[in-house]
Amino acid sequence: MNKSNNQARSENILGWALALPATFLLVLLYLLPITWVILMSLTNYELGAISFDWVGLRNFSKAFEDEVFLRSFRNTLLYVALVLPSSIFLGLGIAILIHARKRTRSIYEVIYFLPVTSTLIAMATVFQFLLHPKLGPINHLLTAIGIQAISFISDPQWVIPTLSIIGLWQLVGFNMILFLAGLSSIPEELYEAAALDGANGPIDRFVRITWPMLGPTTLFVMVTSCITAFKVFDTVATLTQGKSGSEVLLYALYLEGFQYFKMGYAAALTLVFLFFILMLSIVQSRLIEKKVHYA
Amino acid sequence: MTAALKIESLTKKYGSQLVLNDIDLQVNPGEFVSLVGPSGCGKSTLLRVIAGLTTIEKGQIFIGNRLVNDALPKERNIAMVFQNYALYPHMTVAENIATPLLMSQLNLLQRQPYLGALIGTFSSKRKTTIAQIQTEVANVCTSLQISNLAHRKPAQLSGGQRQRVALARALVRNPDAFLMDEPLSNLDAKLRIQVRDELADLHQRIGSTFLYVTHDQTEALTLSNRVAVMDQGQILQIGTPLELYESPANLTVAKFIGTPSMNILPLKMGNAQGLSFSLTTTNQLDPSQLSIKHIGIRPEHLLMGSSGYALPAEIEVQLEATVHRIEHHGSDWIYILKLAQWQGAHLTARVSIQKMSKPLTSGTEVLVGWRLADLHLFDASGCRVSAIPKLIN
Repeated sequence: MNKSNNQARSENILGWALALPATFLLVLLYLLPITWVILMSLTNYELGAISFDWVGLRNFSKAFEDEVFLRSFRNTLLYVALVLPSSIFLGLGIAILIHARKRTRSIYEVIYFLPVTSTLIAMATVFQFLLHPKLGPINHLLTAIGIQAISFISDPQWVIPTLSIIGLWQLVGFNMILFLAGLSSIPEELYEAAALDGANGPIDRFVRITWPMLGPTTLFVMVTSCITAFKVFDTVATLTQGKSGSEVLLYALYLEGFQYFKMGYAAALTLVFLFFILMLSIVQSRLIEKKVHYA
Repeated sequence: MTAALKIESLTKKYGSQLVLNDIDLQVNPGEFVSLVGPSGCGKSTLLRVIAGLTTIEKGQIFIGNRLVNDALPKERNIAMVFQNYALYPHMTVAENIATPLLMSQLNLLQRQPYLGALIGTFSSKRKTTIAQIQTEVANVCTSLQISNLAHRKPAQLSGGQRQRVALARALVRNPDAFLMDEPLSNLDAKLRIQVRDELADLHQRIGSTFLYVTHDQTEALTLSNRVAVMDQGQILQIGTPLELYESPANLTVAKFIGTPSMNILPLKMGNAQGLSFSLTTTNQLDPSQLSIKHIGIRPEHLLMGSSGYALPAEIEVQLEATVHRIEHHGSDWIYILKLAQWQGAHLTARVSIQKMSKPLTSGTEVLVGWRLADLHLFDASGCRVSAIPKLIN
């Protein structure tokens, strides 16, 4: 009795000891910083200031009256709404086309994956040139076919769609690779069984086999693309610097925190951003989990 | 409904490699024919060719009276059961079974998810068709005793249950013929025998044409009306299980059919390590022209006796041997014997436990013998020689 009690206790201690390093890192790297941000969001702390006041939830209420923040919020939602579906369906479409190729497959894979590996900061100069209202070849092309030149980056109407297309350009290759991996894991036998059952046309093959079997991949692609799209920052920072009403959430946050040094307010915006990412991820996985089949 | 399968001079290549070499095969309506052979012999390819999943270089495939060389798999009206069942993992059992019917009885728009249901609200015809399909699925489920599984997904089923669902999906189409590609190989030994019996029952009940691929000769011999033995893209012999066992057409078939397999001994005419034969043939062949290069004898045709005591006189061949190893196979002892002559060749003998309740220990010297009438004779090319041997002393 006593002995088994001792044993249970030592096992208990061992269990805690083994969990300790991971717990320590978790607390140090995730929980502490988040707590710190939460605490900071309740203050009016500015970087370098000697003192600060507790302001309660005033930072949050201020955010939802802040013209810039609200615009950046709308812009981000529009950006996500444009990038998310197009990057998923384009990625899937390209993956299906490439998957059917045999010898040229790896060439196409590299071509479509290149934008993922390129740094956007460097590519921004190229885009700036391409999209330039006077010098850019795209506008040359438009004027050549009789369409008025468009200031893609400085026209408030065009700036977010333009940024979305650049975002799409960068994201689609990554999604394609994920879908390709998903496609490769579908057993060929299923298509053969389907051919015997009469589902041999491209539509039937896609609807009956490919799309349902890609469920888990699609869910993953959706969540990661959504988060990536929400985090849009570098194109704005390099191409527009938030001009012409092109602020996005992370850029507004960056301005408040690192340009205006309003750390308290920036912390509040960070929490709002985190909250949205969290909500979207939960909703997506909850909604889709029911529809997704895991083999 | 039940149709014959006929294959004429069929040739299939993968690149430069000949996988099927000039195959001729006829399966009569309602017949159960098995294709057996070692892996890579082309048996599965032959099945896939008949199903229309692979193209061919040369030859003709008939289902019933239809030439189906260029027909799509679905137009051939045959069902196939795959080795891994190939059930749609995202569909329930009922949906899996209903798929072939949905595909054949609804048009492209009607059978799409969501869209089809939307169209269905305006058309009563779709509703009646769906109701019919559901009845048919339910009937098949009942006949294979899987009604209680109808709403489960394949991942929630055991191997045997999946096997039945795959069968149900094949049955529901009412096909001209069934093709089965090693359908029992993923089941454990006990279940395999049970499902094998069920398959035999099913064939008896529906009387359809079955073409069955297996590497397991026991399956082939127990299930089939006729068995085709394949090797290296060719059909070596086709016949009833008994024909294959009693008169194998060549060495490969002789070695392949029967467990333990037939004892094969090399032979030099004239100077045959203590054995010399003269041959008399039942047909017109000149016996002296025949050359026998191998003799074969089934393990159960070997008789054993203690060394020093001669075997009965009607056992024409009697040789000295030592017991090398003994295996216990339930109702039989399997003896691996080492011959004193024949460069110490090994022979496998099967002795019923009823005849020998206590096994001999290894190393014991014994006499082993057989009747000449039980010998199988093969010539230099490995082909069977139909002749009656006589011992010359």
